[in-house]
Amino acid sequence: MTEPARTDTGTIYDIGYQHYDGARLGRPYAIWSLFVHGLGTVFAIGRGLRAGLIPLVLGAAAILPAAFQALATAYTDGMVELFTYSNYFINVSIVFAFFCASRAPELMSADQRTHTLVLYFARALHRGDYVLAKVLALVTGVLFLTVTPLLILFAGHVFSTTDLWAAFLDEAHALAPILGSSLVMALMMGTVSAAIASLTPRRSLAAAAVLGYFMISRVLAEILTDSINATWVSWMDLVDPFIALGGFADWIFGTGQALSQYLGPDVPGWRFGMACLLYTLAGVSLLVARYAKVAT
Amino acid sequence: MGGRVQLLSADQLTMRYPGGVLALDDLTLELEPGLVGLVGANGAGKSTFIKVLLGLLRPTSGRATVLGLDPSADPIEVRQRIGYLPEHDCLPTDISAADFITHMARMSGLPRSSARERAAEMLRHVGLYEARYRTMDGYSTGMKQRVKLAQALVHDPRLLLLDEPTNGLDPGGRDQMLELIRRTGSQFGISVLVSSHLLGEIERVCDHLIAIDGGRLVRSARIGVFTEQTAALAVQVDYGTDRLRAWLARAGLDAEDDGKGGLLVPLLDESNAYDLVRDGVTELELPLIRLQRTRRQLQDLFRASADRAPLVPSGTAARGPS
Repeated sequence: MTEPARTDTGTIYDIGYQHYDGARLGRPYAIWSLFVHGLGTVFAIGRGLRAGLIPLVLGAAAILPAAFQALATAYTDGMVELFTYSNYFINVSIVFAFFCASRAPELMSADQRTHTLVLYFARALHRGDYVLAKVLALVTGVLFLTVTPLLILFAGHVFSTTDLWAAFLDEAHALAPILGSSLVMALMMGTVSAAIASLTPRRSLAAAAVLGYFMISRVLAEILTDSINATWVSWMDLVDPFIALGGFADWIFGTGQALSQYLGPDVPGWRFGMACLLYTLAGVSLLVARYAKVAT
Repeated sequence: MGGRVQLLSADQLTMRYPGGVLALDDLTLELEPGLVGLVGANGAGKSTFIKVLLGLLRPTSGRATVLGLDPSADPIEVRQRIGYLPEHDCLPTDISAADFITHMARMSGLPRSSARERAAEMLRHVGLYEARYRTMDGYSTGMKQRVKLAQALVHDPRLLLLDEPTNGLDPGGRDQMLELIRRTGSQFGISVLVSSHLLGEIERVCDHLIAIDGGRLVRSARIGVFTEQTAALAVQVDYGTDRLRAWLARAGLDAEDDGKGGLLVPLLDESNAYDLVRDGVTELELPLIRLQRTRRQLQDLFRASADRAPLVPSGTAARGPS
């Protein structure tokens, strides 16, 4: 216990101020630190049990179907196949939407609500650095939830036979598309939901906006494709980012046209890829525009 | 400038917000290292000036330098050397002060272990060592202001920009915060620019004062010059206040209404003012009920400067726009 300073200010403990002569690691380190801090926010690490419950439950909901499918594949020798590599994200899309709706506001809105943003911008950090670190944190968090179930499905295929090495080689062709589709899903959902959440400092409103966007785009896509009868209408379903992703996954996993919900003789796969890219770019542009203007 | 170190400067600095509001109007000044007070009424342009110095706002025209660097051109270089305490609330609530200050230290490039160490040191310095592991939602306004000071100091800046650091504090907390600022500035070799709308607090901690109003420089001077300028004589007579005022005006003294039925006579030339009041009261045969040395409000000083020729005698450090 230090002696209180003998000044008329009372409770201030005076052991003096020390200058800092140590290392200053600069901007890249600051961005990395903010990224790591953001990852902690995504999974609510160190925020207590209650705060950690939502990412835990949603993370489990995103991964468990894959675990059940892997078990089913192993036990039924591949007879029961509800979830495949390419339809997985579509089937559990609601979980990903909820995950982004709950995590993006924590990352993007909270700093605006508490006005902490100005403390970041008053440090040796560009506005773009802040956005980059935050969005990468969300993308990495989503990537963890997208790549894990697909790898579990992969393991289910490998472990359903006794000759593991042969099964691995047999299935290895799926690894690149697994990484590709997970990454595209994470980039698209991460940037789009971060952009939407960054528009408001209110967390609940941001969460509703992110979730609302994914829900409404789905309904809108259905209405458009059902009600309009024209040759160009097949482009309308791309209004739903999940359909863009579903088509993209079918395309890169090489799902046959007979099995695919999206691909057809007149529906090339690349357009789904283009749509995913456009969604990601739109998210990035919105973020750049928002943080160039956001009041400090 | 010569061989002297320059802390910061503004050269015809003008800042017009997109809405058309003119926050800084041709502001020109130069400051040397030390404890500098920045006073002005609310809306005078204090916060805008600080944000321009930080490179958070780009001036419409003119140029500012901080520690010899241009914040518009080299914002990162400038901000590495500056600690900033914003006027408004800016702390997250769901994290402990220790974690938050550590995080902010890392944002300034301090390695993890150094950041942790510095955070603990700074929280001790501002008197929050015991409470540092509590989440900040339970902190009082005074504690929050101290956390804000700690985060501004944690990377050992050469200049602190403190925007209304005593805002919302009770008199006790105000005293402690001012003492903390005074010690930080005078004992540790960190220059401080502290803004306030209360002259009384500024003059207790600062050795130089700049006053701005309507985005223009009103005065830049050593603190002593300023206190002289606000010294006044409160005069109260039972009746005939207006007659006394007119008499004093004829004698060359611009007495002002103090708002309480009395007069405030500026004490520019002390002995003369006392004598003139005495002579006036005697000659007009008024019943004098109060004659007291007092201080004029800062606002009075601004009004006086805006309406008439500057009160400051030539030869002071004032370099206000003419």
